[in-house]
Amino acid sequence: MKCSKCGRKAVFHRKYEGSYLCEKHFVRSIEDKVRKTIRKDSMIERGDSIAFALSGGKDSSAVLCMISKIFSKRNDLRMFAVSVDEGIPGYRKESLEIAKRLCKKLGIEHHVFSFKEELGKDLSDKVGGRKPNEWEGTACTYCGLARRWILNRKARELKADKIVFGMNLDDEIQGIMMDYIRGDLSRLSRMGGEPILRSEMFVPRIKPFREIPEKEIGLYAILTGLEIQEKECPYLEGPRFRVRDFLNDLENQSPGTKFSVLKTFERLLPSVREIIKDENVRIVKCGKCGEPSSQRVCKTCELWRN
Amino acid sequence: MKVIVELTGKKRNLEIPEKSKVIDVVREARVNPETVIVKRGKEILLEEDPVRKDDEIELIRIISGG
Repeated sequence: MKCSKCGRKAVFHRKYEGSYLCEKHFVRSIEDKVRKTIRKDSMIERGDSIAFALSGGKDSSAVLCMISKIFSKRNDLRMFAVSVDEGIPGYRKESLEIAKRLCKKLGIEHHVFSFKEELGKDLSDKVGGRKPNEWEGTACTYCGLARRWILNRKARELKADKIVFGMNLDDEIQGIMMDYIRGDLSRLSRMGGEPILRSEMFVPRIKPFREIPEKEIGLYAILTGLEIQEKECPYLEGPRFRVRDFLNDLENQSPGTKFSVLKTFERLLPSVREIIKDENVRIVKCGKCGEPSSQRVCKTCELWRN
Repeated sequence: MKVIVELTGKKRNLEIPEKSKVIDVVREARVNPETVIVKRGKEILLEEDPVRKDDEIELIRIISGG
């Protein structure tokens, strides 16, 4: 098939918009869309100091590469990367090596922190050998909480104004569906695109890929020569991954489903925020670690320091 | 006809009907097309591209793993 824009050989069929794209027009379309998302949600502002949460996976590598390229002429911006070593045998070491090589290539300052140093235990020490529980206390719960705790703390200490995450459309709608399933309207109300400042202690998070399907980020990473780790995390478990497979099946049968979930959510978002406006919890400092929390002791300390 | 499919570094032979397309190979490999990019050598393939006897088809998993 030929590219709908120039007639060259197509490398991608974007079914939800009925177009075929060659390599050049595919890459350009992704970068244009990301620029538009950043502008629409005022994600990056003049003088920002920007931390990139870099795992070395395709999404975080691609977002670092693309943003540093888009803003290469902006001398007012400071960019650096922060990686977390959870201590996952046979998985994380390889991606951290990829992260290290990428930062070196791009000339980006790179900081690596580990669960072991920050929390006293690796993820494998914490959850190794236990049986998966489908609805609470999965390895992903322990890992996600601790990772966000470290990233926020370190980004703040390193004076970041924003943290960039590589979350794509698939990640975003999986999160939305999970919040619906759990009935967590408070969390759902924070799933919009614009950076939210909940407390001076939280560094606002931005997700420039939130409107790009995961498959397109994968192709962008391949076409721009990024290293890709194909391995899945050995601890992957929980309902989120059933939701992921369900959404992929639906998208395969009805292209555009993923966008429909996101767009419908965005229309509902003002109403969700209205519903929970009186329920918004006050953010306090955790009595154990001093990090921001909605409880006297934060969830990370509850799970990791008891 | 026979094609060779590589997924996460492992190769295996698949028997598929003549005049099959890339999408038929992906389905036969029991992989959701939403989760892979398909290559033949350096060439990125579309689902509707035809495959030939003895083609080596690489399925690159692009789904995030945590």
